[in-house]
Amino acid sequence: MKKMWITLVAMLMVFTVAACSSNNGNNGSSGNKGTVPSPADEAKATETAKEDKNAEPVTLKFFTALADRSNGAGKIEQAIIDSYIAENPNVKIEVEALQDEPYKSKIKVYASTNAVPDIIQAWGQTSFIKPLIDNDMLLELNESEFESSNFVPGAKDGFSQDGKLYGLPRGTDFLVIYYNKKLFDDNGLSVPTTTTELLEVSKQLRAKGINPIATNAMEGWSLPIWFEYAAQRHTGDFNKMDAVLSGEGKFSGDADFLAAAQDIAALAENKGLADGFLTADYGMSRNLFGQGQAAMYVMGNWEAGLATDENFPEEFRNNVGAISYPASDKGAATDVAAWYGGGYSVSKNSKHPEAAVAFLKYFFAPENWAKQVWETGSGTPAQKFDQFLTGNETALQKQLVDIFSAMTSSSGTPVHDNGTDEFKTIVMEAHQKLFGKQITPEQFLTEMDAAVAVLK
Amino acid sequence: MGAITAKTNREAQRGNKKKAAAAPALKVILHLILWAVALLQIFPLIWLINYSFLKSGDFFGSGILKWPKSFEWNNYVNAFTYGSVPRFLLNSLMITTVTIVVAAFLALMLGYAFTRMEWKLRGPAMAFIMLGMIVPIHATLLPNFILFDKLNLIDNPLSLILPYIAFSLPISLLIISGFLETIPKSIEESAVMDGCSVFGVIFRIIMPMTKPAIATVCIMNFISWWNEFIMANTFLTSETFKTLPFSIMKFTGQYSSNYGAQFAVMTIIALPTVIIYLLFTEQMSRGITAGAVKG
Repeated sequence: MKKMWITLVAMLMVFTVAACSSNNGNNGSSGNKGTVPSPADEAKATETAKEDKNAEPVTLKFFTALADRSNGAGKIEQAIIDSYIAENPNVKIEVEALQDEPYKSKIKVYASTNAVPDIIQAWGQTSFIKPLIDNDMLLELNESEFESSNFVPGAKDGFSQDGKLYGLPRGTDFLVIYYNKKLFDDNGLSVPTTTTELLEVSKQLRAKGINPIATNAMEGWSLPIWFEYAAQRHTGDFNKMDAVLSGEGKFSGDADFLAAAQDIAALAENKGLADGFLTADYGMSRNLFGQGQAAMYVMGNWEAGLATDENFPEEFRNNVGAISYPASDKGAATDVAAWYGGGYSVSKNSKHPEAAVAFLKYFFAPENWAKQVWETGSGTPAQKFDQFLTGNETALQKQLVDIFSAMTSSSGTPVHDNGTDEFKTIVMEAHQKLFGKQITPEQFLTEMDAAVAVLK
Repeated sequence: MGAITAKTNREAQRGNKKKAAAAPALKVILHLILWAVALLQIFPLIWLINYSFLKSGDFFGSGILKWPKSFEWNNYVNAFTYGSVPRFLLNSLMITTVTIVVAAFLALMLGYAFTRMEWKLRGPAMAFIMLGMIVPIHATLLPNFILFDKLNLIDNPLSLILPYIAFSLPISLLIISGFLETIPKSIEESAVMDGCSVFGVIFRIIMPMTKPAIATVCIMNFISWWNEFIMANTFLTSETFKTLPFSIMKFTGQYSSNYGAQFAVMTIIALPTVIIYLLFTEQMSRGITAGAVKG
């Protein structure tokens, strides 16, 4: 008995000691693997030390929603951070990376304790950035400092409020329809160019036992953007929807919106959406398309990597293409649902605002983010990147560039991101019900009006 | 064979008279049902292991189970290298071990104080601790964050261990005090007669007798904290102390995820839980039922 008692106490002590000592260890070192300077960096440190004599050590906390640091955008972000640290040995950047949803809930914790990290990922959407700006948590950025970054016109709008700039966009996002050329060819079908053809093709694909369109309806965010397309093809103007959101007019009773909702309902009625699409999340819908079980895939331009993803059969990779949403007599294929999503903001409470801004300047230098993100096919930068076109792009990348450069009008921030969390939930649920045939187009418009009412 | 059937027939006849023993047909049906239930229970585990050997692109196809064309051991390699499984595993192990040991220790002491000792405010004090059961974890995140921030405990294992212990206490106390009620007081009385001190009574007499309850408490706490994510996500920032669930996150990109590696990590996370369950099921059920039946 005594033995057991002694072991218990001994274990307790060992663990508390371990806990305390490792804690001390943390205070001593930077704590982040990515920020520990390598010997090479230290060598460089002595070199550059001569240049800036009074460079004080600065530690920046960098909070991002790109959790995967070994692939795609996250990898590039980390690479730029690493090279910045190498060039500026007095600066340490501690990266904390979480996925979107945990990120958004943790930023709330940070915000309510006034402990927002120096540089945070921000979304140029009212739902995310407005509360932060309104509570005076973000640093105002000087636009002229970033002129050489060549941001695409309008890209910074979402990050601005009352003419002041509070953040910088990282990428341009737009919704396209990917298609599997082989599935179309094998069945003697041609890729739809008008909304009527889209419905017709869906019917024919369904008749041959192929899933027509895959999308991630479970998460809900792709549907409102899709509906924006459908609506624009009837109204001929992306702004009409924004006008309704700001209180001019209503969804219900509007013939154009009704026709758009009926289009979607018709598509759903004819099983134009893949089996089980309402329970399909991002990965599932993507795999459904990649495995050749769906002919089309409604998703953003960031999926340019579909053409090179080794996880999918070669036959698929060689046959994947992208088109803009089919046109109608009122809306052209060059009217694209495009917006500027993620980017960065600097915390107003930051102890080193100049250092944070200096890093952002480095990050958005054309040869860093814009060049690298384009060359790796991880997305489309929100900066001009024509000079980085190498001609070695995949066919899919070229098609995406064509859609982007032919763009004559764009939708801006997706509808559901134009308001509060509550608004977002109602809007996404209304769309899920419409696409899932649980409500009629008329009921859908009423629900959308109810969502708008929440905004007031 | 014939003898056995004859015997079972006879037994069945006897059973009919007594209305006790089940007929062989019924037995077979019962076995089939139990096997079906068992398979249903084990299926997720098989599914988990199966998926950990697939390529990311193979997921969500037509079949539920899929025989991999080539086993993707690379998923496990990724989990161990990029996913930092060894380091996070060690962190998880350390944090949960400290939690369960301290929680069991405190629960035993408290249980003894509440069931055996006579003191003022004993009832209200116990009720106060039990109240902890109705506090949802989410409600404590923000106040705890502010508190730990002031105490400089953010990004420190203690910021997890302390709330874990606090959340373990009420239910652990409930089980242990329930178990203590079943132990006759005369045992302790005789120990005291032999000159045993209070601590002697607790650690020499009570602790060995409450082993099943302690084991139950430890296992329950292990299961609840081994995979805990919300608190870990809120209180930890650097890589140094992150726990296992963060390994999965490392394979989650902005849009696409490395499912194969995620399943590999999940298999590794699930293993200790399964092993502990297999080793201690008996003690666990003894610990839970002991308080329920007056012996």
